[in-house]
Amino acid sequence: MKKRVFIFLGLCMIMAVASALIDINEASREDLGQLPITAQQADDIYAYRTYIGYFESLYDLRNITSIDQVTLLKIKPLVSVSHFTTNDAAAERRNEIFYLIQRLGANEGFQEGLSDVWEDYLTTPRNINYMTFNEILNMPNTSPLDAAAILNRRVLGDTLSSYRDMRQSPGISFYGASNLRHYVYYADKAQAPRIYFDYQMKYNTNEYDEAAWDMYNTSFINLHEVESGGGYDPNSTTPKIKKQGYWGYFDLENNTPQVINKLRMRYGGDIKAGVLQYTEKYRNPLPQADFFEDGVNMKYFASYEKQLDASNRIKVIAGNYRATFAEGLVMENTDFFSSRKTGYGFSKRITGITEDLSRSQEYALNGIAAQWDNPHFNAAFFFSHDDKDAVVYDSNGDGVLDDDDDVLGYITMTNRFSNDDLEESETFYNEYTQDGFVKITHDINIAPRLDALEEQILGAHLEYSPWVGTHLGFTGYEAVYDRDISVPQNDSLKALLFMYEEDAAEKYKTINSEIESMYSTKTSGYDRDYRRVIGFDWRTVLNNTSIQGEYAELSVDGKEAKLGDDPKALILSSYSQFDNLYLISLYRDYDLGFDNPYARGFSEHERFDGTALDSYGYAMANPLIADMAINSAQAQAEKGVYLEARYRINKYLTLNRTYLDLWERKADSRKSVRFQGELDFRPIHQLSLRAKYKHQTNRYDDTADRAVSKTDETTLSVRFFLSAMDRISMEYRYLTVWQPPYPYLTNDPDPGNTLVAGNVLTHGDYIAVDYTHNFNSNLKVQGAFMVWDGNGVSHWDWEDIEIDFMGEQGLKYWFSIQDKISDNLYVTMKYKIKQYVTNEYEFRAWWNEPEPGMADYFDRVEREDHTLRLQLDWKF
Amino acid sequence: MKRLIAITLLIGLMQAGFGYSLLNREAGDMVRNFDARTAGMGSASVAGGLSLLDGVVNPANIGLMDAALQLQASAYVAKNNDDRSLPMYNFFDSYVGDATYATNANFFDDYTFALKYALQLDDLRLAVALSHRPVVNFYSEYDEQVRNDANSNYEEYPPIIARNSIDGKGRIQAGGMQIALSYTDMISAGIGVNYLYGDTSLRRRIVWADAAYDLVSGSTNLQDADFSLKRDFDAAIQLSGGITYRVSQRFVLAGSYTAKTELDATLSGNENGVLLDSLATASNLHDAYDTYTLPAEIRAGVRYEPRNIMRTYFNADVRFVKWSDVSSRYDDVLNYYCGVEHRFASSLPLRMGFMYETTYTTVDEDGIVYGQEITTPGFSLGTGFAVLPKVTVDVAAQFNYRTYECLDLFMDSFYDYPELWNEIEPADRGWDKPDTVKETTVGLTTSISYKW
Repeated sequence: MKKRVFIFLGLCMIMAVASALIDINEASREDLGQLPITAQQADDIYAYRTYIGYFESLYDLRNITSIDQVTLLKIKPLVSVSHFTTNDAAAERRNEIFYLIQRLGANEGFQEGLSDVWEDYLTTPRNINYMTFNEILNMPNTSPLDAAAILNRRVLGDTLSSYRDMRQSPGISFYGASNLRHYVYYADKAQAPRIYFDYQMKYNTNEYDEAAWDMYNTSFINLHEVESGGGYDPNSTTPKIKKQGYWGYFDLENNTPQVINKLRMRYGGDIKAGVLQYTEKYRNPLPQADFFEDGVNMKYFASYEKQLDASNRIKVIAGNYRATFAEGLVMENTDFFSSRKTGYGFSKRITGITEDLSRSQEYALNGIAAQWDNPHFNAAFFFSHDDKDAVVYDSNGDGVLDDDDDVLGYITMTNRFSNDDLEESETFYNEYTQDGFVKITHDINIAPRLDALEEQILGAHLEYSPWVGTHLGFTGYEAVYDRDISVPQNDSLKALLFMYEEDAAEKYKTINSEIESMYSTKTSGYDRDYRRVIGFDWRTVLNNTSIQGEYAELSVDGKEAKLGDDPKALILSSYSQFDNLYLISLYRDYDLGFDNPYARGFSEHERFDGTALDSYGYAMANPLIADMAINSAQAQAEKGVYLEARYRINKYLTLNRTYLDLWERKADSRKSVRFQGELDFRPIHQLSLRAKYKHQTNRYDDTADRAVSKTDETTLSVRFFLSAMDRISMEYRYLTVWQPPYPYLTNDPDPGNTLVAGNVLTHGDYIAVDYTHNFNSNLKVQGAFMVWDGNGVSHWDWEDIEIDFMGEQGLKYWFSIQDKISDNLYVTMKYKIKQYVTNEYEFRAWWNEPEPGMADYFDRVEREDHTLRLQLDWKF
Repeated sequence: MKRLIAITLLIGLMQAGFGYSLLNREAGDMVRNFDARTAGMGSASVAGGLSLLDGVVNPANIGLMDAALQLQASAYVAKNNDDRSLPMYNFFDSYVGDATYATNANFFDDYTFALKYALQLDDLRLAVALSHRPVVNFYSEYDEQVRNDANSNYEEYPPIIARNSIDGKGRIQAGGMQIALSYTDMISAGIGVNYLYGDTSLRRRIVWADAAYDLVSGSTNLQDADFSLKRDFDAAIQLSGGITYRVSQRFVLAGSYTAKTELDATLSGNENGVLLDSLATASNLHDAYDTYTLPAEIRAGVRYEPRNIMRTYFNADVRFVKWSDVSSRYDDVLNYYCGVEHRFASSLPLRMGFMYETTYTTVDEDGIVYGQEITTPGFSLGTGFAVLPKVTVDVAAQFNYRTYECLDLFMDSFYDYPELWNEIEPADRGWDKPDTVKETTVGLTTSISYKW
């Protein structure tokens, strides 16, 4: 009995002592005040727990400046530390995947709008045992072979229970599995449904790129005196006013920023909604601008998806959605062109129907779309009704641009000036008068217009998969328009496009057949109000190789039910995967007449590249139509073979992405070859030495032709991987461009005149250094400095999350700060100063007599651009 | 003591010359930052309470400071770069860029001081602060050389024929008192009464150089132009009020209101010669000189104190400025400020901020007078350290830049004497060929704070 009493008393004493211990993870400020410490020390402990983190052990107290070892030992017997974690599962998940979200954000420039989809999957992973082939393939860095490896396991009746289990799947690659694991879970787990909000604001005072700058600066009311007497008035004085180009007219040089506001909401993984507002540079950002102003870019969607059972999943989206199928020949609606888009690695496509809050505006689909996924069947239907910006021309010759005129084609405008603004500017130019100035051209008869073309799309994709990794698919859509699209031919087109007849005669070349071959809804052979594109796609996985392809046709004047008699496009590709090697081979052949505005198949160049719209934007009847080429997203008509590989030779040596492309541009039969290879030598983990070589020859088959050009580029770089993920890298690049003498720039070779030729060989180089410092896991600072000399060639530089193009010579420096302020608030700020000179082509034309003392063959314009970017992400 | 002397010297050394934005040479620049912490935070301070001078933006903030006695003094130095360029046209007569013809770099400084005493009454705290600060700054300085076209093709220096200058001085200052009453450090309300006073003068001159007199050699009577205008402002009272509410350990919400204030001005000055200038912003609007208007402002903001591996404060402010109070040609605008402060393990703070402001200039184009919006983005970086147990010094650098168009400051027809030129016939450039101004300002703010 006594023994029991003692035990009881002992227990009571232990409990009493235990209860007397103050749990520093739970104690109130008053409780902490009872400890033998100063009020300041109690405040510091309380503040540490509240604003830094919970204590994992007693010794964490030493992280507090005011708590010394003596104090710690003094309070050690009096306090306890309970295990304490936050209950916010979403925040914990964000912590786990923080670096992946950052990586997705960094690639946003390449994968416009796709990172949202992947980020959602990261936050709310999917059960891999329910995912279909396409769904697995839609994840970053997974290949068809990885998807087939996983599904083959399931066909055998297996259930994947863990990452290790997935990794054991025969045929799955290390990269595929290690990337996929972040996006999936394995066993059914009850997910408490909750609402997620993602708000993102991007503020950017970025400068216009060179092509857009040239376009806006092209003089609209110029008149250079030509001695040919071809209708020009030699006594006319060209006005020199800033407003003679759109740059001055719209005052485009002020610091008005580009602002993007995006709000997305999800309930679990099933119900989603979102809205995006995108303000271009020349506008006032909301809310200072009119929310419903003409041309303000708004996008929105609401979607519902449901896993009906282990085999069936449905998805319905209303509002803006993205539709991408197969190899993108029939339908992939983005405004952004990506060259050599194989569908693997960084150029991944997310196929199927997905919500769309990307910056794509022109090719945005707005309506309703539905998709059904099943291991054997896959069906998607989509309907869109949207007004598209288009180039309108005075087709009926009544002297005014109005709704009765035809459309030449789609246009993605760099700035979506409102129609009122455009019309006012055209009136200004048409009516401009000044003493001595005689206008020699007719009124503006071609111009872009906002929402000029009402487009109604109805489309579908059907897919049958008899066994894992193999499918046959069909995609088709019909776009119905409210007005005619017609493309004038030959001389009519020349006269329409160029401001001056002389330019039309000199500058209209074979390549412009690409413009002539644009789709018309009315020709001598037919008159309709639609465009119809159909396609077939297929894939099969054999061992470690996946073979796939797509064939598409645009209905023009062939028979409806017959294949092969209309403009067509074909892609065949294979992907082989070994442990240390992958190999892609791809063949494409697109007809010139295959003018599908939604075609984003593999190509080197975008449509209209090299045409007058691209090369002679300054000579166009309206400089703004150069946007058809500047922002073209459609694949150019090409035929060619592409090979790509990456080979990890051994632990130290890797052949990074290396490719060879041999292709022919259909419009003018120009044949080109392009090669790029990079060798990465990593003798120790902390050091990487890279050598990259790039070569391109255009018109390699015709050495007698004066259009042959060759580019060689060699890059050497050193990267040091320091502790705490810090990094320093240095890079040197040297490149040469060989081209034939440019006769247009040569003087009339009369006796006494000096022959001034355009450069035959131009060369450029750059040197750059980049440093990344991580203060800790939440705060990263990056800075870079670069100096370059272009001498007529241009460089590009991959900055932290964007590409910068640099011509001529200059220097730039920038820094960026990436700051995770809390579990749900992220801020990135970047500031860049770029100082450079641009060569203004003041080469003396052949018709000008050289003058003594005249040394200004070209003037140099010095520029200094300041760019400030701020991105704020708030997730809750 | 040595440290204190060093700090005093540090602040003293920052007393440099004068100069600020030429854009606002007549309208004045509203002073945005009063202390280094706020400057480092991108001027986001309405939900402050961490720096005594936050009380100027929102009087309620002083009610949430627990120290009984506080002192704070700030010095601000800015370097303003003003590059003025005119449009260049290429062979095809297309506008291709701008040629800088005048570049001015000037320094400007200001000082602010505040003193606070708080009385604790159980859960209530009554705090009273006195402050002295600049409200509007009129300092500006400009120098331009006018050279003729002799030898300019051969990279030689043509002679100066005239010097143009602008010299702006003066400021409106405020001696203020802020009173705040807070309850349990949860909510605080305050009012501010500011006594505004000051004056400003603006002198514009064109002075012919000896070379010009040599060129005309007595055939033309060249006369300098010298115009000055002085405005003595009558004192006025500016009222402000604000509320700061701590919602939780993490969030503080605050809002403040500053009433529209008008200061009558007494004008004096002299006019010598004929000055052809484009200082049109207010010249065309003479009544603007009689009364100076400070627009009403509403400012709302949040302070967020998350759990982070570094002690972290995040402030964001939205400031509504009722510019329509000043002129019917102006729209009201929203300005944005945000900043973050991290304190590393050693308590060393690192502050980063971002700001976006819209201001106005009045433009006369083709007989139509309208307000032209000018946006000014910027960023800031700051830090601080404790020099004595109760004394801290904070330092912040702010960088702003903007580009805008304006008319030539001194119109060229003033120099239209044939004897002065070889080939050129100077003529005024209108809005079809305006100046492009690229302006950058780097500001350094240093504050010293004492808490007892």
